[in-house]
Amino acid sequence: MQLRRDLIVGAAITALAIAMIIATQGFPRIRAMPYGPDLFPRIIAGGLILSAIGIVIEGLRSLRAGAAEAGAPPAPRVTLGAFAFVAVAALVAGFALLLPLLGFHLAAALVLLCAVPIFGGSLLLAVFMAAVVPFALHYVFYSLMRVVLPWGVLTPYAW
Amino acid sequence: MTRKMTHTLLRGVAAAALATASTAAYAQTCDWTPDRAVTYVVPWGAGGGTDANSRMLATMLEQKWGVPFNVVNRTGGNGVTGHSAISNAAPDGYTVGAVTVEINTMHWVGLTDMTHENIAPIALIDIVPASVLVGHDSPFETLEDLMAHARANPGELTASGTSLGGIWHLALAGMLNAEGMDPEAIRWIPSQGAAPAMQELIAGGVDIATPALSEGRALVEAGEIRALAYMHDSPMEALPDVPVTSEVLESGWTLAAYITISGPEGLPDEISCAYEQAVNEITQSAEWAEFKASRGADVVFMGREELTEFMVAQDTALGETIQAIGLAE
Amino acid sequence: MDMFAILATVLSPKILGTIFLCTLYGSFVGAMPGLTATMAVALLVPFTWFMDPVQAAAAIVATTTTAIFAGDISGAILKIPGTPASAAYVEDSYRLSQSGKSRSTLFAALFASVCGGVIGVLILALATPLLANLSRSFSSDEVFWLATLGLSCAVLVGGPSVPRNFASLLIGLAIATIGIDVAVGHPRFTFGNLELYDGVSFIPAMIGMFALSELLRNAALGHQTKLVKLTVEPLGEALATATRRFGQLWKNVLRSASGGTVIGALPGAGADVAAWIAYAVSRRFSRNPEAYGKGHLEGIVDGGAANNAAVAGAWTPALVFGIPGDSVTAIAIGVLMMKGLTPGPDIFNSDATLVYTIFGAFLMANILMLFAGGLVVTLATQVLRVPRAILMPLILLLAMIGGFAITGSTLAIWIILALGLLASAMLWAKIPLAPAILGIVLGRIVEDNFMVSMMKARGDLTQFFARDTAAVLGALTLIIWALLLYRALRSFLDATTPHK
Repeated sequence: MQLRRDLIVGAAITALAIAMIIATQGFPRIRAMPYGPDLFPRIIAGGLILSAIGIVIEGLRSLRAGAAEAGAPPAPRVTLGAFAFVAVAALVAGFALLLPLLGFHLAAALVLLCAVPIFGGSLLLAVFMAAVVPFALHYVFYSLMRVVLPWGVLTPYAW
Repeated sequence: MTRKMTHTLLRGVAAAALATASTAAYAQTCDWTPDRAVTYVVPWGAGGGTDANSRMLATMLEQKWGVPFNVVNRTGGNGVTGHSAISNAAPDGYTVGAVTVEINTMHWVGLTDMTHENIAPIALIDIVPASVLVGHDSPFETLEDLMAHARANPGELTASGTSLGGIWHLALAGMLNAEGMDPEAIRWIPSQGAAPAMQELIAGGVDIATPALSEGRALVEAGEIRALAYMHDSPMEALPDVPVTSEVLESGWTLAAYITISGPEGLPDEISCAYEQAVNEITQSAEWAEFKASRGADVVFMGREELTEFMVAQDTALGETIQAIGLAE
Repeated sequence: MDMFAILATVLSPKILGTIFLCTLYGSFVGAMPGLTATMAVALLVPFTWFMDPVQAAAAIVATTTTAIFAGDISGAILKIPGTPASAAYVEDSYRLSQSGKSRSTLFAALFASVCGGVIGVLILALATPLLANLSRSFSSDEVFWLATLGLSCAVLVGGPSVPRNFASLLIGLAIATIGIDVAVGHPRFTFGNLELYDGVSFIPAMIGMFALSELLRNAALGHQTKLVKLTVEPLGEALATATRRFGQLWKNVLRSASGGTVIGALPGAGADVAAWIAYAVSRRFSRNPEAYGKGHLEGIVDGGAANNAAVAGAWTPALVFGIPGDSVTAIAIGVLMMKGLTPGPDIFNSDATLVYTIFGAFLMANILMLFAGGLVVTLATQVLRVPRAILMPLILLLAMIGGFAITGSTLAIWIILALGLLASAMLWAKIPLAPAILGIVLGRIVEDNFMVSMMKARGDLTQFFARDTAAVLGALTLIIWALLLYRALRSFLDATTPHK
């Protein structure tokens, strides 16, 4: 199990490093110097590849040492958890998209309406929080601390 | 070209005195006032000169109109992010911002297509001339010494003050170019702003720094660094002994950054006129004068018309400089 | 200079009252995700117009110091560190508060911050000219070496696996390369997004890596943790525990506070680097190095003392050269100049009484922080009693609003999401997060100063040792790196060689 994970990790890091090196191809140079903005990304990419090799070696080593662990218990079922994971990530993306359109109050209420049930709260609680919390945050961030929160569709009603 | 620039500038300063008279002419359409919070976009970081001037102005506008003026620092892209935010906002008077001299340089170096035509200038509130500074143990006593050395030993001296192609870089390279020298006779070492550049200067990391003289004033007064020149046509009140380049240089080169309050493209006349009038009143107040004096700066003001003319002139002049020193895209 | 006049001013009700109000304000702002010391001070400026110079300086200092401390509170309770400085030990403080020790941990952190701040101010009052001379010798060469030295902390703040620590550090450094490069101004890895030109800002990055990954993990655990109730210690017991534990660690506080002040006084470094180095040094010399990162108080005390001491140290370049080390001191200088006080080497002669009165006010600010900080800790820890179904959605919303507040742009929320997912992947891969944050914080400093030095020296590497201070720092850094690499390599080879 661990070896497979280490191989995936090593491959992912190596892929990232190679992508970085390829992306630095077109970078300009500092006049009269053999390198430029590409120097650091390349050093970092080189280091990443080395550490990827290290991680894979560690995995191979654990394979030899840990043959006894072969009968480890199977991974727990995570179907529900995986759904919640994706849902929370989607909420963040949704908030980023909707914030400028709907404005802060509606977007925040929407996030709470969805997030409370995801984290195990009742629908009633969700509605209550969606109704109250945005105004509290509005007060602290907008009124008190002068953070410019977008009004979106509510602009005509802004205060 | 620089002559023309400073000419426009002087006219603008003089206009401050006459402005009260001129605003009366369109007073009948100037009664717009905001009835909710206004966003004031600053394209540069908190603590800098643009931020300080804009926050001061925002606070005084807030007192005047009784609605909050919320300052937001939208930094990034050497000014592109904040300027775009001002330019692209709804032209309803509820978003204004601090458009700075970079509106006349960014498009020349290929950072953006946006020019001064994509914003609505309201008023100029600060003029920030560059300087030539050296360490207190530098062998150069005058700008002439320095230029002569750089002419004889191109590439030996280093200077700093801001990023590559930033306004203080243009100040140095433009000066060298105007004096008929290679713009790279003094090598530019980029920095993340004026403060790190001054640190380099006192640590002996670079030979010269060319930021705003107001930025270096404390160090000059303390004797840590020497100001060889002020890139302006009249001496700074706080440091009257620093020679001005319009006199000591043959080319009469001068260069100043500027800070304005501007709105998005297409801002209705009625609104920008109301702002212009309000800012004009504020810049004439004692509070504003005291604030300016504490920063070693003079009170300046230009209304919409003068400012627009000024920006056009600046754009041409800075464009020529950028092309001459080979930074144009 | 008149001692009594100074005392009379500092202890006047007006100054004490100002300081007290500002410590409350600072603790509130610092404990709120996304509200920073810089924002707090910027909002304070209009009020300082009506104050005399000492009162204005006292207000700014009291706000800053408490805001920096209060960053620990949101770190411990919400896993949202208020500043990159608190990030060094957020894993420890969060785990401790999850295990019901939030109050004793935060009280100990408060004591450490107060002592760190007091020691910092004392050093500042006694040795500013010395610190100024050190700071004067710092060009890009020295800053590069100092930051590189800071990077070596990665080995000490990570987990047991050497390649994984390095991978984490390098991932952080890779993230730090995003944005315009200093040398030629070329945008790297920005995908045409102008707002990325400035790079990934720290606060959204930390919120994503720590808070969002924790929220995602919690969500993925499903409802099985719903019934787990977090406990909060009774106040008296927490205070007693904190006092006792803190009493055992006074040597750490002395060491970290003095080191923190010096690092804070150096250009380009500041409180962030100070906290990371203090944490790493603490682990190196601790009797229980293996407990670090798993909920150990010692590192929190060291890091907390160092970062508040560094806040005091940061005033050295500002007062003596008028060169602000960060935005807070930049705003502060502006305010002091409006009050007719011009920073400069002569400030200790020309305005001696005023300067020492300001130092006195600094000192009082750090002491009064004990009350405001204590109050906020007591109240804020109540949050942990709130049921998960309410707390988690609130943290989610606060995290996103907080990120947005920093830059005023939705890009911050996308950064939170991207780094939250990256951190989740790293956790799955058993790669520690702390070295990555260190990489994000230090990457730019290391690269910018390296490039600037190379441009000055026209590519001549020997120039990195041409200046006295740089040569010493460089030699030290190279020796430490060589030792660390040797040890890392050896332990890695030992671990990978099969048992006989």
